[in-house]
Amino acid sequence: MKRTTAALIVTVLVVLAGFAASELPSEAERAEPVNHAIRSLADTGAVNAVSAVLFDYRAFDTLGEATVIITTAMIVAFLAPQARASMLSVRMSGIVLYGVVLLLPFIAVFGLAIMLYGHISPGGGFTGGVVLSTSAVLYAVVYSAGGQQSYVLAPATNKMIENVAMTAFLAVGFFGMAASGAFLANAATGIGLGTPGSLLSAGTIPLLNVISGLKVGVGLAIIIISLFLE
Amino acid sequence: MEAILATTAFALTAIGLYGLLTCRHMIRLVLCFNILEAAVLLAIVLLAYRPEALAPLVRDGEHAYVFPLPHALAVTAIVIGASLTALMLAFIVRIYKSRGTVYIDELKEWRR
Repeated sequence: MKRTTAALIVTVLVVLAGFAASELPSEAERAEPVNHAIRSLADTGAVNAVSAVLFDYRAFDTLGEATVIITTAMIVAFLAPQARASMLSVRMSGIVLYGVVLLLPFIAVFGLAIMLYGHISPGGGFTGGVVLSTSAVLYAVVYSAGGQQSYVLAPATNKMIENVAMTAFLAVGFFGMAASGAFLANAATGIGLGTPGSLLSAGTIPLLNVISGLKVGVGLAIIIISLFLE
Repeated sequence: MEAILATTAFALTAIGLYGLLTCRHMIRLVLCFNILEAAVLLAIVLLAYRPEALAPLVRDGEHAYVFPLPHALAVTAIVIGASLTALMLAFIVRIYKSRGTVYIDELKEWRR
C-alpha cells in the first residue's frame, strides 16, 4: 500500500516534469551562446571562467559556502568527537603503512597544483582542497587503525588553519572594501590583473583559491576524521 | 545526447524520491538524498550545455564557450551536499547511540 502510494506520487511528479520539459525551447529556438567566458577574461583576467564566477563575480556566495563548511565541521566535531578508531581493530600491514607514506607527497603536490593553477586550468580551490583532505584522511585512517591516534596535523592545528583561512578570506574582502568600496572587489581595487594565463594573474583570484582550498581541505579532514574515529 | 541526459536526470529524481518515500533505514535515506542531489547537479550542468561549445577555459582563436555560471553553482551544490551528508551521518550516529536504532519507524515516541 505504502509502496503503491509512493510509486503513484513519483509517477505523477515525473509526468508533470515531462510536460514541463516538453515546453523547454528546442535546439533551434535557443539563443546563440553568448561568450560570457571571453567577457569574464576581460573583467577578471582569469582564463578559467568558472573560477572567475566563483571567486570574483560571486565571491560573496563562496564566502557563504565557506561558512557552511566551517559550521558543519564545528557541529560534526561536537556531535562525534574524535575518540579512537573503534571501526578498525586490526593494525594495517607494513605494505599499507609504507605505501601511504610514499603516496602522501604526491597527493599533496597534486592538490596544491590544482589549487595554485585554479585560475588558468580546470580545478580550483574547492577541488584542490578535497584532494589535500584525502591525504590527511588517508594518513589518519591507516595509522589510527589498531587503537592509537595519529594525524598529519593535530586536530587543534586543523581548527587553527580553518580559522586563519576564514579570517584571511574576510581580510581579502575588507581589502576590496577599503580600496574600492565594494566587498571582495577584484579588478576595481587597482590590483594588476597580469597577463592572462600566467601564474600571477587575475588579481585576488589565486589568493582566494589558495585560502578556500586550505579551508575546504582542513574542514573536510575534520569532518571525515571525526566521523571515522568516532 | 541532451535528451538522454535529461531522461537520466528525471529517472534519478524519480528513484531518489521513491526511495525517500519508502525507505525506513536512515542510512538509505541519506543515500536517496545523494541520488536526488546527483539528479539536480546533472540538470544544472545540462542547462549550460550547448553542442559544439567548449568548456569555459578561454583559449586562442574564435570559439563558442558554454555558460560558466551553472558550473560554478554545481561546485557550490557539491560542497553543500557533502556538508549536509556529513551532518546527517553525524546525527544518525548520535541517534543510534542514544536510541539503539537506525529505523525512523522506531523513533515515533520522540513526538510527545
